[in-house]
Amino acid sequence: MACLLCLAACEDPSCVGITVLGPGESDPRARTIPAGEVALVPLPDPSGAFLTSAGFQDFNGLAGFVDDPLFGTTRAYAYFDMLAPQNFPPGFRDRPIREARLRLIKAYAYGDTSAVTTLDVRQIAEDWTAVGATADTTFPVMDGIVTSFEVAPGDSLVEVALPEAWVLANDTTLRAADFSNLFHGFRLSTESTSGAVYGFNGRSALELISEEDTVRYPVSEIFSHIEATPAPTFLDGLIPLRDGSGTGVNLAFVLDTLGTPALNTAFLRVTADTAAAQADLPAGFVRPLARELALFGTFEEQDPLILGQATLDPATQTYSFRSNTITSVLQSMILGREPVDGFAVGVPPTRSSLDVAPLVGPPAEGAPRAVLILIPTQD
Amino acid sequence: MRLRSSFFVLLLLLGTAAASAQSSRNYGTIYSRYGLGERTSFSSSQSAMMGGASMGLRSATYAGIDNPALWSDQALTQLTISAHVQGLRAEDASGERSELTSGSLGAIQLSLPLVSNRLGLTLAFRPYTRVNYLAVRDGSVQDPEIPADSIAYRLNFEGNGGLQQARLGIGYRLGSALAVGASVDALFGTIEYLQRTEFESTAITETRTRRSTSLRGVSGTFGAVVSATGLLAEDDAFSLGAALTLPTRLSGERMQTLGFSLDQDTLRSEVSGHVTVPLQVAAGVSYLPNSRWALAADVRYEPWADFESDFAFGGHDPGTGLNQMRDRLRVGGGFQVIPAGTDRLAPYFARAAYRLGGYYDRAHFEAGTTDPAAISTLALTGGISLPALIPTARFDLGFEVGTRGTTERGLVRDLFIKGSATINFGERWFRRRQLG
Repeated sequence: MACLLCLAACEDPSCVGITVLGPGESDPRARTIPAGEVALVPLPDPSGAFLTSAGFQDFNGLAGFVDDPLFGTTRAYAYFDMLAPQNFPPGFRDRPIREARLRLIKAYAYGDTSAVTTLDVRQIAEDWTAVGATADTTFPVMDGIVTSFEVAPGDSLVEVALPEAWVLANDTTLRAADFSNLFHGFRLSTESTSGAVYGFNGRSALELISEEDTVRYPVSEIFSHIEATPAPTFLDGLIPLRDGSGTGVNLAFVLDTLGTPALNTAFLRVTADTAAAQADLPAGFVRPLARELALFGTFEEQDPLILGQATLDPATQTYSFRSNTITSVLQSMILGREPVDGFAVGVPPTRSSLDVAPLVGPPAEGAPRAVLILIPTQD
Repeated sequence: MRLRSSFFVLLLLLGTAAASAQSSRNYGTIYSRYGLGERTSFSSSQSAMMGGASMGLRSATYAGIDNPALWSDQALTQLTISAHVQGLRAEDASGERSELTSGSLGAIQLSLPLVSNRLGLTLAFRPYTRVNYLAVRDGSVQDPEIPADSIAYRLNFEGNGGLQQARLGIGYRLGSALAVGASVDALFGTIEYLQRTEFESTAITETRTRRSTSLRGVSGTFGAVVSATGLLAEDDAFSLGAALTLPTRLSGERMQTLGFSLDQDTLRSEVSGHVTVPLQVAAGVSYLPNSRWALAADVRYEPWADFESDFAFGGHDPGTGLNQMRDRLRVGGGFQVIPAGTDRLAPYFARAAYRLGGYYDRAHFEAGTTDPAAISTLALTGGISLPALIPTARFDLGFEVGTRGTTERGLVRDLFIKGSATINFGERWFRRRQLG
């Protein structure tokens, strides 16, 4: 008896018998739902990073000015703070600093790079934090310009020698054990109304040279304050999405007509007109395209939440968002719940840039849409 | 007392194992999709081996569950536990085959002689219907923006559950010729239809939609047995029995859930409704020419065309008017031979009972979607009943081999073989003490 009862169920499932159950009413099918509402909306744009942030070394502090005939004007101020290294050569702190210079690694450019852009260096007046700060934030700086320098096209390393008088005045601070509390970094900015915005990344450093040694104080915190004024008009049928503008593209989908299907997976897609974005560029003008976009879930009373990211497919010029989180959110919305108030597409705040993504807007082909793989459910 | 303790321990062990077999995932006929599931019939291990004939089959060892009047023939407290295992091969017209196995509880029964050979009480639990099908369909779906990139999937259609019956009643012998009985029957259970959709891409989560219907209701059964002796031979015995189970109105709720892997979410709120199970009428005869031989035959009729339901089940949908339910007719019969008759000193295998029988069962539905067809089962039954060390106990091993359905009209033909094991354990519980 026990042997009989303990016989494990085994099965060899096959298609035998499936015709007894009836036709394929329950098979997965694809449905395309166009976004009902598409508009530029404010989207918090955190533009700072701390040393421990993922990808800090490639994170840019943006400084300069650009007048883009397509996207408008942008003025950027880059803030950098430094950190004393853990190890010093013996006696370094006992010897006066003879020279100090900024080693800025230029990794990004947007605008007219054929012209020379002059950036001013100012000392930041008080303690500040980049974490959580949005691009409209400013931090106070001391009166007076420490020095100015020019950024030439093609330079990847920009070395800025700090004035001897400044070195002398700050020598004790630069060698102090509590350097981080006494010194708050530099701001780079420009008064120019032409040129380009440049990005200097987390590999930059403050280099101090004494009689016997050279020590680098690496950048520990980066932030960009951005003032963007959009162009009065934009290309017909396109949405001017750009990093650093403090805006994203809001998407709303009407899901009521679907009933209550089971959602297997969902693709949220937006298409960029990259050709239009690169057309009629002035000579020497660089306008980087966003290679990656982020899909945010937005809320009325809390910060948006990243639901997924998508890389531009060069063949189709499309960003296709797909993740289990997106599927779960849409499934909840289909069931009548509201896990998010809406969706927004923006450039992910991982690098800090002014990258552009001119998206195709409705009703053109390529307008934002959701492609759902779903299974109808029966009563 | 030690015997009684061992008896209860054995009862607990077998019951647990049987319940485990009942609850584990196992699959059977695709035809269990129809109505409330595959109708199961178990009255006693003796009748199961004799083609299911039980209505008039009187026995001091086996108190057939189907006819309450038979419960009057008890002198000992009887416990019966039965379990089954089945192997099934389904084949379609193209020659494709699928093989499935399953295990299940046959019945648990306790019979008490309130007055020896006159008034008996029985409590029985057995499956009433069974839903345990599995079928798969492979396909692919295209992303409309990337037609060349098809997404392969597999749909798994599964049915689980069924209705159970608990029966409590008494049988009373009015005289040597007539016995009557009645029982209260509770029907309850849950029927689930599950669709699992698996995708070849691991990036797409498996989804599960489940329709679960819980039902419960109470009905009653009335039975009678008329007996006569010395008809054709001095020691012969003839019995004619019949039973009627009233229509049962079941109350129930249906819930539909959606899940990703193991998570479940409610898709639709609970819906309440009713299901009416039609009446059941059965009649049968048995003839025992002497102490060695027994013959029996039964016929059962259930007018499932009168089936009513607020819920949609396979073959029946009140929303669309679909109704493929048909009246069920079952005819069965068989014989038993005990070589030693009533000689308890005979060799072991001479005291065993050998049984053979068969049945024809026209199912309570027509199957198929475009051109429904009647579904019939034809089976051969048999087995052996072995005496146990305890004189009042027997260990029965039975088999059933049969075929069901057809490969025409897009249907399948099942070839099944079942094995069963039943313990029938009797003990005298109520003894009047004698003083002096």
